[in-house]
Formats: sequence, structure tokens, C-alpha cells
Amino acid sequence: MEPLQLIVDALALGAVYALVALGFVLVLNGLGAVNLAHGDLVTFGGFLAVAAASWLPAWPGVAFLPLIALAMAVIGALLAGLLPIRRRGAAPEDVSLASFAVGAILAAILTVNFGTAPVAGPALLAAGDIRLLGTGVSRQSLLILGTAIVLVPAVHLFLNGTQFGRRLRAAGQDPDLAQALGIETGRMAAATLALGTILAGVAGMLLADKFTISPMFGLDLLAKSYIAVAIAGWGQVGGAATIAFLIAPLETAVSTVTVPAVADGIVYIALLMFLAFQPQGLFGPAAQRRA
Amino acid sequence: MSAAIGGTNSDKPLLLATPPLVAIVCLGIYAAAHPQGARIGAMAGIYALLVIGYQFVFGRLGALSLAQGAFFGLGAFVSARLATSGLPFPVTFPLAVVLPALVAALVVGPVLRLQSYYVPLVTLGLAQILLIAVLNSGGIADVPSIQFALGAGIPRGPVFTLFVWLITGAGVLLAWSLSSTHFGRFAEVVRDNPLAAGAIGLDAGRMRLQGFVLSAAYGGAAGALHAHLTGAVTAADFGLPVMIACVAMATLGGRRNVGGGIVGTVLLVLAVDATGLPAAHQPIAYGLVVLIALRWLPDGVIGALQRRFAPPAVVVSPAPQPIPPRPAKRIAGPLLAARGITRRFGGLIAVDNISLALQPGEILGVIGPNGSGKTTLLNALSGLSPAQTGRVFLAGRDITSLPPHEVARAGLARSFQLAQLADALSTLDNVAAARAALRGAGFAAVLQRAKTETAFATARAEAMSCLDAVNLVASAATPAGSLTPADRRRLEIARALALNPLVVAFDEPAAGLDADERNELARLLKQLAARGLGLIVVEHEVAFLHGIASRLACLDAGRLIAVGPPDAVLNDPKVTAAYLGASISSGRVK
Repeated sequence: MEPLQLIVDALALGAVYALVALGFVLVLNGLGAVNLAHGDLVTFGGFLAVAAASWLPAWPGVAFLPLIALAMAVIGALLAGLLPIRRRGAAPEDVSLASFAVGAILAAILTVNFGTAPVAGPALLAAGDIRLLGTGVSRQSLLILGTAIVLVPAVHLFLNGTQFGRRLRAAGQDPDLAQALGIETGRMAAATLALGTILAGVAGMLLADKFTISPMFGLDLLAKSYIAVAIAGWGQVGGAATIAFLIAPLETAVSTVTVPAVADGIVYIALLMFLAFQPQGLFGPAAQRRA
Repeated sequence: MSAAIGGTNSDKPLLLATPPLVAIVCLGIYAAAHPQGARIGAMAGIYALLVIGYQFVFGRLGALSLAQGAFFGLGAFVSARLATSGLPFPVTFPLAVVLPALVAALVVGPVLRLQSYYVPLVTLGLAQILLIAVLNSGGIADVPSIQFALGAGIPRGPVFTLFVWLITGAGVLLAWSLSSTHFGRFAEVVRDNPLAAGAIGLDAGRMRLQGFVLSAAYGGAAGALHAHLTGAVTAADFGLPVMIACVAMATLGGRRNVGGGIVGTVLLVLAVDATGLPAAHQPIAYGLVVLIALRWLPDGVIGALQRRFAPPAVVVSPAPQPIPPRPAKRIAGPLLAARGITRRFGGLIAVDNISLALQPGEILGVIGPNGSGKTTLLNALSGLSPAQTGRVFLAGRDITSLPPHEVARAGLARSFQLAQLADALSTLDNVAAARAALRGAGFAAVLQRAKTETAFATARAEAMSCLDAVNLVASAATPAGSLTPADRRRLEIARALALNPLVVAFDEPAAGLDADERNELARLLKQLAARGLGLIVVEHEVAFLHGIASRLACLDAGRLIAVGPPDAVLNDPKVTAAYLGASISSGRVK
């Protein structure tokens, strides 16, 4: 494949990973617990697009985007009711445990309905290449990059520039204090989960659009986001998205030389090194725990 | 409800054994009437072994490991590879147990010292790597049944099933005896409050590692038996299906109870077989079981049964027994000495080149405005965030870079701004755990169950004398979580005394106390000093300190700006300036 094409595709994959990690770390900060269903929510979103395309084959993928976002928001809100978030006597580990169960359920539902073989989703607009600098570059990859470039700053603006976003962050950082200030932390947790789930769904659709998707990908996508958070520093939003973005070119580069599994090995060893020698991560923890 | 350490009603073994025995009898009846009965019975035994192993880390230590399925697969893979090349079971089985344990110790173990929220990550990563490795190497088919040397073996069938349950029975016995030894008892403190565990000298990281290695060994054993039973190893043995089944069985039966592991496993194995649920649908059912159990059966079936039929025995308060004194040691120089210690957080210098000395019987009050570095100083002394430069000596021994649990053992006990206690344990057992931990948290204690029992009886009696010293005897049986804030402070002091310390460091002990409680506290602190202990008391209440302190030290922006007799320090213009805000200097920490 042409080098430029390869680079653009790697960047597009990185953009998808960044979106996945972004949703993961937002939920992490909002709930104070790890959402182990996040990877399966990504594949679920991807398969929603696959299903929608098989019902309405004439429509372009981009038309499904708002529908999938809406469906994922509903799923996220349902999830908030299902997980024992700040339930009396429930530890943060219990939230993770419940989310692990939800993830297993989602993955099994997808497997039963679609099988485990990787499939491709609908194209956002139209497949094919456009000419760029004399070589063909995938239109889908450029569109994915474009979507991510719009979404990441939009999420940043939402969290930092709107009253609702600030309440969301406050509720995540110090639930007790936020509650004392009149913020309904339960509703905020639900909103955070909805936002994270929307991001997961959109990422899943983009992944299915250019690359392929399988119910088996869930844990792998989760692991990538989780590793990105650990390397960046616990709770670092921008850092996690950046690290996740960088994993994709590494994977692409390694895959051109040897099997893709080696890239997973490298990333995991990097993680262990970080945890052993620099457990604060690259940018330090964003959320300080009180002694 | 007050849980005793160990919390297993060990005085009612028969009552505890009833639910798992009933479950096994039901399994036997079901299997006898079923054409595939032997296989179902063996499968239940294999999963029971897997689940009981998982409980060491998931239940007892409260860490959500996602690698149990991978250890199962690793055990299956190792024994299948070796068995297909002709090696007998007595060789393959031990290797299938040891190898996962080694992987657990070497790859995952070191990271377990970190915060518990990294546990799912590291274990998930390990599981994914192993899965990929197996996917790439392909599965293994035609694994023989169990073969001993010289052509003797066990064909798949009823005898195989009994053999599986023999091994599972051995695993149950080991787990059962561990739960009433130090490991089981201390695990409750580690799970409940890692800071409290460190404060009584327990190494939470080491205990997590021990639990994790054990769980991996059990997982490997279960996987090996599974490979011999099914005759094949596939990627499915490594992945999500095994993991979610294991989690569901443990959660349904009861996470912390060996009998619960058996009950949950048998219930789900029978339910899945009776409904004929296809393999692809099973994770949905298992996931739902986890969600339902989390909401309505937080302690599992076994916990619900226990609450109904066998409420935990009331902790009987033993007669107080004095703590044997620390072996006397001649100390040259001060009891505690800090020499030029500095602690930075990024660009902030929270503690800046501080030197202090503390003599026996002395109360050193530490004052300073908010954010002047008082708590950081205590954290640096007690090993929670060690000094980056400078040295700390306790009775002449360099303790600068010791972890908190070793500092506590060395003789520097501390209290926290917010009392850190194992809330589910009784007041008495919070202190008794400290006594027992000091005597030895060795893993070898598994072989000395009777000794452990007497050691704990002694620890409780000694703990009573500590409670007596702080007037908490009446609340001995109350769970620490239900104590008033003032009583929680007292309990922290009793726990510190149980360590037989040379020095006790207090972080704002008078905050939130009323006048009477303060006077009581002041009397208690003076008593401790009169016994020859050195006390460091960080406090905002200058009046409180003025009444008890031999000397005061004042911090501002991480620096020691004055130290000496209380009146001299309080009249020092630098101190007044610091408090009135004349020195709004940079470098302060939040």
C-alpha cells in the first residue's frame, strides 16, 4: 500500500482509539470506578450500524450517526440504573464487577446474533479513494479523522465551557461536596455514563466503517483504553486520548513487519514498565485521592 | 452486625458445612440419574476448584482479577501439551499448577502493590496476551485422560469424577484452614482499609501477591483437569466464557466463603445443564446472575443463609491482659530524629529541609497555617510519602525509606486526620489484629492452626488492655464503623498502643471534639508521655497544644520557622506573621 495511505489509515485508527479512550476516561472520572463494559459498548455501537445498514441499505452511514448516538444514550442511562453507583455498602469494585457482567452480556448477545467473524459496517458517505499528493487516500479514513477532530474539542468545550459540563466534572471529582452544593450526583453519574456510551457507540460505528468489527474486540478495545489511562496518568482526559491515539501507528508499524499480536505485547510490556517505575503515569494523576 | 476477625463462625463447623454438603448431595443425585452424569459431576468439581481459588483474591482481598480464566487456560494448555507428548499425570499436573503460579508471581505480582484499581487492568492485559499466544499456536486436540506411569490411568467416567472431587476436596481443606489463620484474618483488614492495614504493620501488597499466586495455582489445577476431561484445549478455555462463569459462581455462592464457592458452582452447573442453555448464550445468563446477586444477595446465597440461620457469634470480651514491654534497648541520642527532610510534589516543596528531634517522654506540638506541610511531615516520617532527601532515624535506626507497615513495626505508630479503621470489624478486633500482626503475619502459619487460635485469643486479651487505656472497653463488640468520631479517635490511639510503639504521631487528634473530650484526650496524651513514649501532635488548636506540649514547632510553607518552648514560639514574630498572613509566600501546598 502507498505510504501516505498507510499513514492516513493509521491516523484514522488512532482517532477511533482516542474516541474510545475519551469515553472511557470520562466515565472513570464521573463514576470513580472503571467501566469494564466500555469496549463492548463500542462493538455494540458498531453492530447497531451494521444492523441499520442491512435494514436501510440505500442510506449513507452518516444518516445513522444521530440514531446510534440516541440509542447509545438510552443504553448509557439504563446502565446507570443497573450499576451499583454509590449504592450504600457497594465498593467501587462492585461497579466494575457489574460492568464486567454487562460487557459479557453485550458480547454474548452480539455473538449470538452476528457470529464472531469480523464484519464491516456501512460507509459514512461513500467508499473509495480521493487523490491527495499524487496518491490515493481512503475517503473513509479522512472522514473518520474529521469526525474525531470535531468531536474531541466539542467534548472538551462541553465539559469546560458549559454549566452542565462543570457540574458533571464537579460531581465526579468530589461527589460529597457536589451533593452538598445541590448537584444531583446520581443524575450526573447517569449523564456521564450516557455521554461515555455515546462516544463508545460513535467510535464503534467509525471502526466498523473503515475497519472491521467483531464481538470479540470488546475486551481488546477496553484494554487499550485502560492502558492509555494508566500510562497517561489516572483520570487524565487529554493524556489518555493522546496515548490511545499513539497506539494505532505503533500497531500499524509493527503489523507491516510482523504479526499484529506483537504490538499488543509491546504495549502491555510498556504498561508494566510504567506501573513498575512510573506509577504516576506520564502526566501524573488528575484525581488525587485523600489520605 | 459485628463481624469477628475471620468471621466464619468457626465454632459452628457443622452448620457451615451443611449448605455445600447439601449441594454436593444434590449434584450426586442429579448426576446418577443423568446419562452424562459423570461428566457433569466432574465439571462441577473442576469449576468449584477454580472458584475457590478465585475467592482468595476476589473475595478475601476484594481485588477484581480478570486473569482467573487465563490461569485456567494456561493450566489446561501446559498439561495438554505435556500429556500429548506422553508425560504422565504425576509430572504434568504439578507443572500445570506451578507454572500459572509463577506467571502470577513474576508478571502480575509486582504491580499488585499499586492501587487496587490497576488490578483489573493488569490481569486483563495478561489474559489478553495469553489468549493471543494460544490463538496463534492453535488449540490442542486428542488429549488423553489421566495417565499414571506404567500404563495405569483413570478413564473418563465415574472414577475420574471421584478423582476430580478428591483434588477439589484437598483444595477446599487448604482454603478452609487458610481462612482461619492469619491470612484469612488479616485479609479482612486489607480488604476493608489498606491504610489501616499499613498502620498495624501489615504488608497489603505482599498479601495480595500471596492470594494471587494461590488463585493462579488453583486455576491451573482446574484447567489441567478440564483438559483431561474434555480431551481438547481451545481458545474458549482462555477467554471470557470461563471468566464470567467463575465470577458468576463466586458472586452467587458467596465471595468470601469456601462453602459458598461450592454452592454457587453446583447451582449454576446444574441450572445450565437442566435448561440445556447453548454455550453461546451462557455468558448472558452468567452476567444476569452477577447483576442479580450484586443487588439482592451481596454476600451470596451462603451469606443470606447465614444471616437467617447462624448469625455471627457475639464477640466475647476477654479479660484484659497487659502487653509485654518492648525489649529494652539503650538508645544513644534522640528517640526520633529527622535530618533535613524534603518532600516535593512536582514543583511544590511541601516539606522543605526540616530537622527535628524528639526525646522520650516529650510531646512535640506541630502548628502552622493550612497547607504549611504538617500532614506531609507526618507522612514523610511514617513512610506514607517518604522524604526524597534527608534521613529519618527511629531509636538510631534509619527508617527513611521503609514502607508504612515496616515503620509501624519499627515502633512509629500514627493516627490519621480521618480515622482509618477496618469498619466492618469490631472495635476489639481492630486492635487485636494489630497485636497479632506484630507477632507475625507469616504465611507458614497455615500449618499451625491451633497455634493461631491461641495467638488470637492472646491478641484479643491484650487488645482489651489497650481499649481499657482509652476507655473503650464498653464498645469492644461494636463494629468500628458505628463508633462516634470521638470514639474512632480513641480506637486509633488504642490501635497505636497495641503496636507497643516508641513514638506516636497524631494528625489533628482534637479536631471535632467537645471541651470534655478534649480534656480527656489531653489527659491521655500526658499519660502516654509519662510512660516514656515520644509524641508528635499536629494540631490547629493552639490552646490544646499549649496545655500539653513540651515544645512547639511551627511550619510555614514547608519550612520550620520556629521551635522551642510553647510560649517562646507563640510569641515569635515570625509565627504571628505566618498566622496573620503577612507571609503569603509561594510554594504552599493545598
